[in-house]
Amino acid sequence: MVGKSAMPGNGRPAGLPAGSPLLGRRTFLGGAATLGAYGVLAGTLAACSESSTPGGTAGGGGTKSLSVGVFQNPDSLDPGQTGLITVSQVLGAIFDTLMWKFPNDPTYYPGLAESYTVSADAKTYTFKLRKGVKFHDGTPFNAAAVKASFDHIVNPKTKSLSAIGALGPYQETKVIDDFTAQVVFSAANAAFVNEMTQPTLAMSSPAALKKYGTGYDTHPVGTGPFKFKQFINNDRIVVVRNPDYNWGPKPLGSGPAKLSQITFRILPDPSSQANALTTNEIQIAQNLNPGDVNSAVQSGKKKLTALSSGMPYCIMINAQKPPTNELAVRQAIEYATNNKAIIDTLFKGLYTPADSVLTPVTQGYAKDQALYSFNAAKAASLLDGAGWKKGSGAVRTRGGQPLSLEFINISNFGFDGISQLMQAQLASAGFKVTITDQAFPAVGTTYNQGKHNLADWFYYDVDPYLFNSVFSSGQIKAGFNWEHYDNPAVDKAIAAANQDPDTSSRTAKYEAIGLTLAKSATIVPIYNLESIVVTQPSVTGIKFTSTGQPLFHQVSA
Amino acid sequence: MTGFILRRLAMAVPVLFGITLLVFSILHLIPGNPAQILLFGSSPTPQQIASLDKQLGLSGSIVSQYWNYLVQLLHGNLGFSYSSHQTVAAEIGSQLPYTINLALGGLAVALGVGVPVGIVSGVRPGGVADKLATGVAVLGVAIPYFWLAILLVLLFAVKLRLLPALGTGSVQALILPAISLGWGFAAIIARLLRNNLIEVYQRPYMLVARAKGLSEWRLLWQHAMRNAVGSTVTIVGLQFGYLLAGAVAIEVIFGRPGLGAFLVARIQEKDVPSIQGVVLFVAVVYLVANLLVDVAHGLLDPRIRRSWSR
Repeated sequence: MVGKSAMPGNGRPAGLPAGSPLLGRRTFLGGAATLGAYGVLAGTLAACSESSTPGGTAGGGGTKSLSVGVFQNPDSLDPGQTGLITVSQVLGAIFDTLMWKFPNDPTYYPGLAESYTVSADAKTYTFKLRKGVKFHDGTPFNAAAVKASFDHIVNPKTKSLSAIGALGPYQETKVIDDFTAQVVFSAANAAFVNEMTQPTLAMSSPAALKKYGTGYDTHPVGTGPFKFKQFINNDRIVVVRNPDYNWGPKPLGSGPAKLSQITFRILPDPSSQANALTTNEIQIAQNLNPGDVNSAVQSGKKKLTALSSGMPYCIMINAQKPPTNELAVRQAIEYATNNKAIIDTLFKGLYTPADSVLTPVTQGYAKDQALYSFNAAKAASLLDGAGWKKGSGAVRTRGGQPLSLEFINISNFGFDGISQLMQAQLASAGFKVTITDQAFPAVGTTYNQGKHNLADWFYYDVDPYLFNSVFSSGQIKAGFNWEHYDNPAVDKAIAAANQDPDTSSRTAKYEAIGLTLAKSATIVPIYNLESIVVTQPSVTGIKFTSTGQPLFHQVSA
Repeated sequence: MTGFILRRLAMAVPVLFGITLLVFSILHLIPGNPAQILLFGSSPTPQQIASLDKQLGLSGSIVSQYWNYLVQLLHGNLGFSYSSHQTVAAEIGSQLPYTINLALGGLAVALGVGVPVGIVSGVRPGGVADKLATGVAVLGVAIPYFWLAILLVLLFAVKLRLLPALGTGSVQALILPAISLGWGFAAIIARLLRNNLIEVYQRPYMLVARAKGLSEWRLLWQHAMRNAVGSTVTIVGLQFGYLLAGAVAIEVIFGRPGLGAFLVARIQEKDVPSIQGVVLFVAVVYLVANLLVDVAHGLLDPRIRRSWSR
C-alpha cells in the first residue's frame, strides 16, 4: 500500500504524546496534557513505594514467562498482511526470516537460508535453504514454503499493507530443488537485501496458509522461537516456547528461547503501562510518557534504547509553492528551527535531535549531510539577502508581500506540539506561520495537491530506497513526495542505486543523494526514530530489529 | 402484559428504522471517499477505486445503497471492518463480554452502594448517616469517574499493591474498574432515592399506615419503597445503556478491551463499518433497556399496569 517497509505513519517511538490516527491509539483522555500530568503524579508515587513483587510466573530454570506492554492492537498477525510497526515484535517471536540483520552491524546472518547470491542486475536472488527446519504445525520448511510465503503477500486477497511494499517488484519464486529457491523481480531491486530481513517478509507454513485462508491473520504459524497460542482483541497475545528451535541467527543465540511464555498486553494508554510496570504486572514497557521513563529509571528500572532505520520525524518543505520555492527561504527555515529546544520542551530531552534526511543507523546516512543547525543570525542574513526585509512589524516582507507559510499539520500524529513550537521559532525569524490541522490519511490528498508550505512526516524503513517514495518526482501527485521535490538527476540517482547489488558502492550512492537532498533543504529534521524500552531490573537479553522492535529469543526474566 | 410488550416492540420498529437511516448516513457525512482512503499511497487507478467501491457496497444510487445496507442488516451482517479484516459482528462479539462484565460490575456497585445509602438517608433525613451519605454522594457526583479511577489505581495498585493496575485477567482485576465506573451512579441513585423517600414519607397514607401500627420495616418496604423507586428504575435503565458504551476512559486506564475503547479506536481509523456497527448495537441496547424499564414500572405499580390494557 504505502511505499516500502512498515507502513510510514503507523509506528510511534516511545513516549509520544499523540497517536497516529490510522494505527496508533493514544489520546483518549484529551491528549498529552492529561496523561502527562498524571504520569508525573504516578511517577512520584511509584518512586516512594518501590518494593518489588516477584517477577513473572516463577518456576525452575527456563520456565519463566513475562508480560510485555504494547500500545497497538494488532490489525493482523499475518506477516504478509499487517501494516503496524508494533506487530513486528510479535512476528519476530513467532517467525523467522531467510536472512537476519541487526542495527549497527553490517553483517547479513543466515536464518532460514544458509546463504544467498544476487545476480548482477539485482533482479534474481538465489537462496540455499537450511535443512531440518519444521514449522510449528509440523510442516517441513523448504523452497515451496518460500514460494508460498511470497506468493501469499502479492495475492490480492491478502490485502497486504506493508509486506507488499517491502517485497518490491516481485515476479515469482522458482523452486529449483527442495532446498534452493530463486526469487525473481521484474525490475532491479537491490533494496531486497535489507527488506528480506524484515519480519513482514517472514516465512509462513504453506499448510497453515491453505488451511486457515483469510483466517490466517489470527492463526499465524511460523518456525520461530515461540508458537502462537492465543489472541484476544484489545487485550493480549500469548506465545509459548518452541522447544525444537535451533535455527536462530547467531546473535540471537541460535537455540530455543529461555522464556516459556510471553504475554503481550495491549495497553494503549502509556500511563497504564507505567503503572503496570510499577506493580510488576508487566515486565517490559514501551511507549511510556517521557516523565514516566525518567521516574521509572530513577526507581531502578532498566532503560534500553534502539534507533530505528528510516527517515526521522521531520518537517517537509514544499519546494514548489512560494515562498518556499526559494532555496534561501528553505535554508532560513532550517537555520531558524531549534530542534534541540523542541525535544527538550516536549520530550524532556529523551530523543536525539536528527540532523539528516536519514536516521544515523540507516544505510546511506553520512555526517556531511548535517548541514544545518540552529543559527538565528544565518537565517536572518539569508532572508535579508533574498529581499525579505524586516520592517516595522514582526513579519518580514518583500514588495509588500508578507513572508507567510501554510503549515498543514497531521493532527494527532505526534506533530501537534512540534508544529506549535516551530511556529513560534519561525515567528522570531520573521515568518508568519499559519497552522491548519488535518487528519491522516485524508491529509495525504491535500499534501499531494501541494497546498502546504510545511508538512510533517516520518518513515520507518530498513533500506534507503525509501528515497524513491519520498523524493522521486513520480511520487508527487500520489505518493509521499510532499516536498514536491522534482529533480531528474535525483530520480536517476535513486534508480541507479537500487540497481547496484554491491553494498559499499550502493551505500556511497545513497550518501551522495542524501547530501544533495540536504543541500536543497528539502526537510527539517526534528528527532530520530527511536524505541525506548523500560524493563524490570531482572530482564536481560533483549535485542532489537533494524526498526527498533525488541526480539525475545534470548530474553530471561 | 404480553400485549403491552408486543405493542412496545412494534413501536420500536420505526425507531430502529430511523436509527439505521442515521447510522447509514455516517458513511456519507464523513469527508473523503472510503475507497480512496483505503487505497491511499498506492496510486490507485479509477478502475481500482470503482471495484473497491462495489466491494464496499458504495456503488449505485444512495437509495439502493441504503436498501442493500438494510438487507445485509436483516441477514445479521454488519459488514467487514476496514482495519482488521474481520466481520464487524465478530469484532463486537469479541469485545462484548468485557463490556458486559464491566457494566454489570459498575451496576452492582451503583446499586449496592446507592440503594442502602439512599434508604438510610431518606428514612432519617438530617441524621448523621444522612449527612455522611450526602457528603459522599456529592463527592461521587462531583469527581469525574476517570479521575477517580486514576486515584484508585495509584492508591490500591501502585502504592498499597492490594489490587492489580490492569483490568483483565482475574476477578480482582474487575474491582477497581467497577468501583470507578459505579461510584458516580451510586451517588445519583442515592440522592434520587433519598429525595423520593422523603417525599413519600410525608404523604398522608404513610401517616395512616404508621397509625395502624405497622413496623418501620414494613412501612419502608411495603409502602414507601414501591412508590419511591419509580424514577430510580428509570435512571438505572438509562445508566445501564450508558455503562455499556460510555466506559471508554475506564477501559483505557485499566487497559481493558471493550466496546467504548473499540469505538474510539475505530473512529480514529475512520473505520466506518465498525463505527456503524457499534452505534447501531448501542442504539438497540438503549431501546431494549427502555423497554425493560417500562416493564419494570408496570411490575412495581399496578396503576401503570392497568393503563396498559386500556
